[in-house]
Amino acid sequence: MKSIDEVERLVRKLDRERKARLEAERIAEIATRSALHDNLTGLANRAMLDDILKTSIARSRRNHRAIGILFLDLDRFKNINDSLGHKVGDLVLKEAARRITRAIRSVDSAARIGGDEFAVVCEGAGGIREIVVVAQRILDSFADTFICEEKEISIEPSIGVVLSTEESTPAELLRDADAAMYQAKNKGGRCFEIFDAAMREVATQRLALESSLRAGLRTHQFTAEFQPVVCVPSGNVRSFEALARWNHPELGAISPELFIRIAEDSHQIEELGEQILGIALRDFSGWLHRREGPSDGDLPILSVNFSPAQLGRPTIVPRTLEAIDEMGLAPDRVAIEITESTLMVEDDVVAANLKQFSDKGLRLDLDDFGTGYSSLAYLKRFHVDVLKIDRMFVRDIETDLESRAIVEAIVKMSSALNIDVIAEGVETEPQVQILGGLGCRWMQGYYFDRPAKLDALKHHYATEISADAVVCAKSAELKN
Amino acid sequence: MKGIIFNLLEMLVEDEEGDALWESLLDEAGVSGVYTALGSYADEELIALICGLAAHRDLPIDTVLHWFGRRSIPILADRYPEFFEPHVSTISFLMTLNDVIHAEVRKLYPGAEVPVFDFALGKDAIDDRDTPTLTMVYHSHRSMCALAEGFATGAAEHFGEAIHLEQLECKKMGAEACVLSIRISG
Repeated sequence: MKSIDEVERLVRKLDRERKARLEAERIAEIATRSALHDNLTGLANRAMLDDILKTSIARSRRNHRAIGILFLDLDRFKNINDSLGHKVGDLVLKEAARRITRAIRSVDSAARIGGDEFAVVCEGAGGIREIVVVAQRILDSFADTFICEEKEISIEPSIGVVLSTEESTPAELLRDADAAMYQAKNKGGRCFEIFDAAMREVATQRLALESSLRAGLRTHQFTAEFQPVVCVPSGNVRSFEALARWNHPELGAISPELFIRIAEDSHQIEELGEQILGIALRDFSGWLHRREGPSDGDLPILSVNFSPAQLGRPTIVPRTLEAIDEMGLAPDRVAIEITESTLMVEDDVVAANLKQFSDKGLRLDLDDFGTGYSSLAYLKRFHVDVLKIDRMFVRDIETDLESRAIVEAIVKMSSALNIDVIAEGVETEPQVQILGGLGCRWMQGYYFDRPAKLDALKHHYATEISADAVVCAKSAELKN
Repeated sequence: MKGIIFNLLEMLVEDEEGDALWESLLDEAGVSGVYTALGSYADEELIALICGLAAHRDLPIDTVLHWFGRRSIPILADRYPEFFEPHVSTISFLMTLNDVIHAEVRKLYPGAEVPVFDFALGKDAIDDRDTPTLTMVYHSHRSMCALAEGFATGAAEHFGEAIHLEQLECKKMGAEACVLSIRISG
């Protein structure tokens, strides 16, 4: 017979073992959860999504009710991450997950696939209409802006929608929903697109183009055309902007908007940028040697677009200076053209490189001004030589007083800061007159010339600004 | 430290000296005694239990650690035969500690902080024969070189080899790291 001490020891041992078992179960549950859930948002991860899809498809076949897949991508999330930092980026992702979860039905499952991509599995769909309702509800849930670290952030998703068939597999559903999402993005985002077979073709073509781009870079298929920036009314050419062109051997001319986006998405933008820089410098240098004309003081400069990825490379400054020197050009003959979002990237390497370029005499042109995020502090921080007013303000300037007011404000601000202004996208005579009346002296657009080889462009574009244009601008100023 | 280590100690103490001693050690150390193999627990709890056992046996702590390592090997060989079966000698087994054994330990027990060893294989001329000698440098923030010695001794017993084990340097004596020399003597 056991003694009391032995019984007590046995009870304590059994109690410890019970507690150890409970703890083991708790640890196993945490491990399982971590393996199947996204740590940041708490949503199902890709592994669990695959599992959910398999189960849902099996159920849909038994019940003869389709399932719907929504594939979501947050528009311009990369800009948010780059300009506001990863901490804010993570908060945006968590908020997006929260809104998606609130918008879907209880029978639906949400997952974070990775990066800024999410998926929703909608069960028991009678038809596409039910899925579209969920998609619209998700879009509506993103209507309100999100306040994060005292910044107001707009999060907008592009959504691809697909309904399953009897033969659907998880991979096919995700692929088709992704293709539809891409279509939604192409339409400007903040919308949903329902998949159709043509989209699959588009997605396949996009992948093929990505591969072609790689081959194109290897075999030097890319060239440059140039568009002049004209001084109005003198007509002198201030600069030529180099623009990348791709004439595919089989597909013909590929839209720059398309192949540049593909280059960015497939991380080939650095290599493309470097090739275009070399081509532009070579073409420009050759043109300068061939032309006869004004003295060196009036020679135009060459402006070349640089992506944030290029500017983030530690070697970009010496390589660029070497390339300029090889072509027998002086650094002050070249302008680095960047977008607003590049200046707002919190990247010491980018900032240091821009400063070095400026110290070496290269100019800094800021493209698409007015379209990026807030904070003009970067105008103080970086030595910006030129602001290029985005074409969206120029396009509406004849009919929209707000656009006119914005352009005028930019011109005045720039003048006060001793920064020059170029208006982009100038296509009509009235636009030239209005811009001239508002004090904008440099302009670029189809009105003067379409992009072409340098030898095909004029050296001079005489334009008069009527006195009426100036009077009208002053009159509008007085009324305000 | 992972719970599996505490489980091993409990098994050995209860096996050699009964569960009453284990209860007593838990009470003296002021610990709960609830250790699940995958859980993580403070190093201090193990040290407190070892110190209590050393006090009970009236032995130095390092001697108890050596005993612990040596007596754990048969249990580990039974539980994880895949670590032992590919080898026929102590030296070959010990040399897989970093890349095989501890790599698997980290997979089995995520978060496990395992020591890292540097190895140098040499030969000593003993009685006109070249005898393999392994120099092991033990790197760990825990300074439990005596436990490592115990494991090496237990491994030699498992492989049926007699070894001559000597600690050439010890961190507790001011050296940069603990250095062990292991020579097969029979």
